[in-house]
Amino acid sequence: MKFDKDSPRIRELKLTLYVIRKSKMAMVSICVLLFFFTIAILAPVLSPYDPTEVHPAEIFMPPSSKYPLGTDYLGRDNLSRILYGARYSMFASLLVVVLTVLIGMPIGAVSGYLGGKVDETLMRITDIILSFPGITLALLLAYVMGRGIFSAALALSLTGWTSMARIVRGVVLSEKGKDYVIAARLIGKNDFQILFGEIMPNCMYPVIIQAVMMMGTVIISLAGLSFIGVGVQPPEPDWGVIIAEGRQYLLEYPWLSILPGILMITVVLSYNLVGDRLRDALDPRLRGELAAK
Amino acid sequence: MGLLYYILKRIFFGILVIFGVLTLTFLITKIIPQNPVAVWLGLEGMQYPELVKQVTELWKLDRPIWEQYIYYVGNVLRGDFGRSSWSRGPVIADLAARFPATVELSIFAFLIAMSIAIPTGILSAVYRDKPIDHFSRILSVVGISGPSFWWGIIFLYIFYLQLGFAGSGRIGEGMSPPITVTGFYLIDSLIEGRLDKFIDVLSHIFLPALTLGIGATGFTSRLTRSALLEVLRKDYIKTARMKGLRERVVIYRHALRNALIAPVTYMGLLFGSMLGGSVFVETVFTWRGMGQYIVTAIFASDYPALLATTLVIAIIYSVANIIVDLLYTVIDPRVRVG
Repeated sequence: MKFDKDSPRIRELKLTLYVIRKSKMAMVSICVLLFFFTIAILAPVLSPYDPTEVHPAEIFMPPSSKYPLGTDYLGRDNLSRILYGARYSMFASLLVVVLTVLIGMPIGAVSGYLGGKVDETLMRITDIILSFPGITLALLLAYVMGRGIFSAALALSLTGWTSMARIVRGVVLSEKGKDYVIAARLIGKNDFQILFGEIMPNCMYPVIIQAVMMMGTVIISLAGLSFIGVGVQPPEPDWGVIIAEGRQYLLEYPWLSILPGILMITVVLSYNLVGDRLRDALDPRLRGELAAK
Repeated sequence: MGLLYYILKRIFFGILVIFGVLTLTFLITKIIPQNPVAVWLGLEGMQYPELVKQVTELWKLDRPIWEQYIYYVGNVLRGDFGRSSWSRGPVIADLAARFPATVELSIFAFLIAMSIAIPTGILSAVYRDKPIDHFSRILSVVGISGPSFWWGIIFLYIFYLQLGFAGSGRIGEGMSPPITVTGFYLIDSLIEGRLDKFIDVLSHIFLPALTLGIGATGFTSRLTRSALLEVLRKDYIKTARMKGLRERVVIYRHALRNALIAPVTYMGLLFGSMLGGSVFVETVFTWRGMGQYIVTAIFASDYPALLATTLVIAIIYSVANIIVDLLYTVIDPRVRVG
């Protein structure tokens, strides 16, 4: 696509960005997310200590200039652990969502385009995966693949692609009978070109919205897997791991568990707010209304 | 096409999906990096080739894979989920003891969630954009954004450690569990005729149930609000108002009935979220149910127990979904068209 300032796509994009910018809540959320990504990237620079370095003489230290957030039951610096923990929450969740799109999008597209037996089979497979409530199947898969952050991320992608596939399938089903598809076929394009060249660009918005909406759930699920013990393995500092460790000392040192949870809520909430606004801003009916307001 | 046709079709597809679930767990048993015979016999037992051969033949592990599959499905249908490699007892016995605990907790969580969510949803819609609407919005959005295991820990800290409410477990330490009739402590304690036990059990179930229901509460509250607002815009509501009916009657008698269809549709989904969430909540509150069993199985590397519990939870969820769908088909004739 050559760059043309007045092409409908560019105008559309500008309008969308304008609508998002108009929402204070969404802008604050975006800033919060950028802040946490920055922290995650700069964790090695910002952390005063190695997050796994133990100081046996200084366990459960209160906040001080030496340890800004105190130390935990092994004398590890809480601030460094929380900063490093942001890496897992921010980047592993991104990995899961990218994998989810990579698995779910082609399956949904092929399912919707070909229809018939292929569609029936693929949709029954999604039914089977959706029969496992919550993260039970992901828990099982993560454990089978061996504990660790990559197994956990892969397990969540292997169970999470179903919703993405269903959304893409829905869009393809409603698009494939339209005139531009018939026109493409008449000029001799093959199925592959039609599906991925003509129809799929129309799936972009729903896929982006779903991807952003998924981020929050994925962050919570990843932390949950770590909390149970199949995700990030101690002594590595994931927020879920920190909460699980802090739980043992809840009465005396509640902050060990409370703080990572508050950070997680902040991130998840920001993703959800951005997702909501994005959905409205990409909705052709709502967009004009919101821009005019 | 008649109603019966749709019901049979739904049941047929439900059973098909359950078989799919069975197949998936079977495939997982085939890919796990663990030799079940070795786990069962231990290092010492593995030194006797006779014994190894005997167990392998007994479990049909020397047969072709499709025969193993039939054997597996047959076992599951007979309620034989294998033996726990940790406790050595049949998994089904452990599950039978833990099944009522999880179901009791889920049902109670569901009741709490609904009794909070539906009134707040209605209030939010009726007093739209007033302080109470904002308050309930913030509460549900923040509730949904936090992990349930974290909320459980927060509740334990505030209510148990600080305020001295009942903490973890299903019943107080000084009390013996009620006689087992249904396995539901709330019902069993009443059958036993011990009101003090009933109250103790009630106080123990409250916090975990509240925690387990947080997601469902936030979700349902939002859903009720938007559904009620949608219905209140309809023409028949205008008619009811024009007739001079009081606002109370318009909202509660006319609008609410239709508005509640949406939350009811999600009942199956919400129940599933509770079965899944029980893994975390039961761990935090040491609630001896299926969720906690999964976690202990993970720590003990107890594959048979882990697989069986996951399978049972998936089957319960599928059956619950079929029931909700069937109820829905009976209640709302429009569904049958789809």
